[in-house]
Amino acid sequence: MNRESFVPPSAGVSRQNGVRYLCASCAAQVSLTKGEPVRCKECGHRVLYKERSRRVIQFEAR
Amino acid sequence: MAEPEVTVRKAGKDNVDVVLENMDLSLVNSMRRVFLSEIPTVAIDLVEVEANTSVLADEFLSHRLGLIPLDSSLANELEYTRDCDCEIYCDKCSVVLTLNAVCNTDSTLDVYSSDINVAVPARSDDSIGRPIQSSTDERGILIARLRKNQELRVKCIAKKGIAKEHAKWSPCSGIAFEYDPWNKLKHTDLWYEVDADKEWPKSKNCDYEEPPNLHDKFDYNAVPRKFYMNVETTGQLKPDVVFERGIHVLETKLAEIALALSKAEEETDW
Amino acid sequence: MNAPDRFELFLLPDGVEKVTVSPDQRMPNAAFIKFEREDHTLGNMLVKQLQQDPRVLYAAYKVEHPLFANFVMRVQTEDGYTPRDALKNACQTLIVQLKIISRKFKEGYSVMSMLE
Repeated sequence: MNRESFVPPSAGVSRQNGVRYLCASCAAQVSLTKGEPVRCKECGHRVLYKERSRRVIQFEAR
Repeated sequence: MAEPEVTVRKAGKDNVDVVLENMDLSLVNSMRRVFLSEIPTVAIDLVEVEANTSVLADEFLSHRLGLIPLDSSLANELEYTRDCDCEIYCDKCSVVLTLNAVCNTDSTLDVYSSDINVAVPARSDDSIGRPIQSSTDERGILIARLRKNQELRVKCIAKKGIAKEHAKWSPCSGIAFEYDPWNKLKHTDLWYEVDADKEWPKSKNCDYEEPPNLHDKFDYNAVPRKFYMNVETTGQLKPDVVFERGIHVLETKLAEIALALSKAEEETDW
Repeated sequence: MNAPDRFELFLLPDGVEKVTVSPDQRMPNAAFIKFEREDHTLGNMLVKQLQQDPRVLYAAYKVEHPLFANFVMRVQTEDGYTPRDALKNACQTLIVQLKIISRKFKEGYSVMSMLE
């Protein structure tokens, strides 16, 4: 399973570019920063999924 | 005591059928135990998932990758990662394999073990770590299925190990082991409805031994001396290699004990 | 969660001896021998071989608990023969037998594989 290396969230979280999300209905990539309304840019759907982390996860093949 | 005798009845691609005579049951059983669990092989032990949009979970996929048989004929030249002087892993103690698959078509893409690539080895053109293929026209073991736009990108690190640590490292798929096919030693008490002799099927090995004479007295001193063993492998190692390495592992164990005893003797005055 | 590491079944940690011999206080020429990180594969084989030795009076082993990878063996020998020597001879005899088996297998296999 995943190695137990707890990484705390970086202090002063305001991201430069915005967190990437995926729309539930049209699967378009949506970039949102803090305070923006939670809506898909293309179809207006209000359910967004967070994208899979870029961090490479290591597993024991057992 | 007569010398042990070994007769190879069948030497197949994946199995070897042997008859062992003039040996003790405990020795043959220990050989069987060692063949199953203590012969070092190479199998994927760490999986770094870079991208996985397939329907299978990361850990599910990693578990499947671990079970894929990899060529281990040169496993003896590979070091155990725990014994190696490198930090995490290196070329001397591991083999790096990669799997990259993207489905671009509308139809399902099947990802097989033949799609796994061995990263360029620092050594010569060794086959170590290459996924086993039973024949060239087959594609190997099905790992996962991908739909359009699903991707699978993993880096696998294969290491040396033994089945005592995890069954993926076992070179044998099964070992058939039998002795006394006619039950002359009465080691077993066959269940029956009317007649055990008619109800139980005869083993193939019955042809290799004399059937009992009904009027013979029971020989209570008899001990099993003839054993029929069929070692079947998964392809990681050839069956004769399994046999030879297994015996070598057993010899090493015994030698280690003898050595430890001599060493302890020097230290105590007893 | 509580499962011990699997490699503890066969890896000898630092400070732990593979074989420890302690004489049996109650009888002469008898000893308890503890084998660490070993199982029935060695135990049964060694005990059977020891029992074939005419100078060995008693040989037995037990795995005290299945959660721990070790077993203890008790050997009692005749006067003038130590349990340690009996065990060493048993190991040597088994190694010789195994070498014979290996050689005969190699010969038999090379013949059979040529026919296939």
